Amino acid sequence: MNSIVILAVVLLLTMLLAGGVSGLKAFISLGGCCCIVFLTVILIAWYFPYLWVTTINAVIILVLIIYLRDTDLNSANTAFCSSVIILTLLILLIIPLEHWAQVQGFSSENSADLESMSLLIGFNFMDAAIAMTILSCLGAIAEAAVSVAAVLSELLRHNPTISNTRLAQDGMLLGKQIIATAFNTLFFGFFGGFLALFIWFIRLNYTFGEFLNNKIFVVEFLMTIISIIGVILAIPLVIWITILGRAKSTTH
Amino acid sequence: MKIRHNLIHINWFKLLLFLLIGSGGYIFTTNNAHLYKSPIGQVVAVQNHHRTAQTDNFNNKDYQQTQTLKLKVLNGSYRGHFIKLDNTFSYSNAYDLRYHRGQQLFLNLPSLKKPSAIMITGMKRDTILFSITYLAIGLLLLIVKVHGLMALISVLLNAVFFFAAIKIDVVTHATTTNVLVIFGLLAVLLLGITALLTFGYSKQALILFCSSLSSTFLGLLLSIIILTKTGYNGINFEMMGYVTQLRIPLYLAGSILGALGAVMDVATDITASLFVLSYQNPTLNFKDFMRAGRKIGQSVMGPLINVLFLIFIAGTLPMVILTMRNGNNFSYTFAMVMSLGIVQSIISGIAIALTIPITTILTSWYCYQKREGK
Repeated sequence: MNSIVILAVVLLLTMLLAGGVSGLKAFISLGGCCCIVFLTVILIAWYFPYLWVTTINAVIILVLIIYLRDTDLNSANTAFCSSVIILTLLILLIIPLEHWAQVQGFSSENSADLESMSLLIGFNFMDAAIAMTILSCLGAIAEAAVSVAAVLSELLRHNPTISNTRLAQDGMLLGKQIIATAFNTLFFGFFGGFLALFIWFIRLNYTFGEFLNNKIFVVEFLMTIISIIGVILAIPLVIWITILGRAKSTTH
Repeated sequence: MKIRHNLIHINWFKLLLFLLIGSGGYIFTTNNAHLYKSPIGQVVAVQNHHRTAQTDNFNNKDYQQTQTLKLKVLNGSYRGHFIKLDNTFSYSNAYDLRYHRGQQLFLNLPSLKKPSAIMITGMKRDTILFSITYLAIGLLLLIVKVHGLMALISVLLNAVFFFAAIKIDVVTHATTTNVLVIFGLLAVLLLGITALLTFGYSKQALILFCSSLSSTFLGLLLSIIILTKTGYNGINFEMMGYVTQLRIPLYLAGSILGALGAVMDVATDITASLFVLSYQNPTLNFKDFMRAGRKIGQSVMGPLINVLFLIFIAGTLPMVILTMRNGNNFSYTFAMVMSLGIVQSIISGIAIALTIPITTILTSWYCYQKREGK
């Protein structure tokens, strides 16, 4: 039997054990994201305009992560609006950044994997680098945005007369915790995903300079830092949108 | 306007200082060639030649173009000399790059007399690394102030131990079991440090530590049992990149480390909230705690597993496109390139999901126990 299928079934079971119906919803969201990522990759490989494909699918992924989750619609809407704004800002940052860094394509460390492959495939790898960086930061943005939005809406529910200043202060206090835990999630993900590469660097005695300027290291580092910038931006933005939404609902 | 003013106080003096240090760092990284041992040349002039159309076996249309670069050597014994160098690049840029004026390149420069031996070995990217990191740190300090520093210290400390563990792994030429022991111990150490930095020296930190450790361990154990029982069917370890030692233990070690941050994220959310809850409502019973803990865990589980999934899978995108364009269909590409990332996400997902019941039970039990004792 295929290992991946069995592992996926066990994942579903543990998610059901942990969360019942919401575990099932989380599993569906994960499966949905998986399909959207596959679709994005296939469409890009078929010469569809990569930026449109990636942006549209990125928004669908945000919908899947944010709305398939046990929370009130208001906080989900706030989280979604903030995530889309952050996604736009990050795309505007990623495109010039990738062109500046010129980290597209492969590096000499990949040469074993590239044997017997045709490299002249008429596809600009800059597009792939940008699409990859955009996709990699979506989870972190959505996670930070939903966490802050959910707690703010909880605060508002318990204390509807709370002042905006107080709400912003409490939101910031919470934001600090969220940033610290998100940092850990992202950096451990980074270390874990590239353990083999880091061992390679040390085993082959790369100097500190070679290591810092290495193409693959820079690609991965940029992906992690971009996600972190997204998480940091999410906190004030979600607070701001929550307060705006509140002003709107009181004038009606 | 007023809202934003309350959120972020802009101190012009600090902003100026920030920009000043930033420009200082930028100027330093663009002029630090003397710190590098390998020769660095700056492109001072570029001359692009004709394009030659290329078509490969899979009917992909590309072109190749040669450019003549004039470089000024910035360091080493040939400092100040100018050299001329040809560089061939393609439209796809899969394994080559088109260089522009002003860029600094690492060179292989044995002697000026043999121009054929001169080669470009890479691009200098420390300026960009500095700039983006500086931007992130600046935003962090602007938005969460000094608290941001704690998060940075935690990451730096973790990175130091991470590299120390790799050094041990390399120096001892670790065998199968050793690899898991080394990185298992590293995971325990990193968990301990992060728990202490999150909650200080307290019972809360201890609970966070124990529940994260047991969840990660159980999740990994379960995954190893499934993987060995199914004989690693459908997973192509031979496609793992950058391998310098035995693949499967290396892969599992990477999976433990990758999941650790997310596991701690869930466990921190649950323990922090339950401790606050027990402080605010002294009349809650064990079941109430369990219900509250589960509710918090459920809401973060889905997004967190997605965070890791997207990190692990996005990195494979260039390889997927290359493989598909080399006349392979999606199912072959999936099996060869993407399956390892998917399995790593699933292993992490199992550990994250297990964290919720384990942390909830441990914390509820402790909060309830403490109450009974009083």
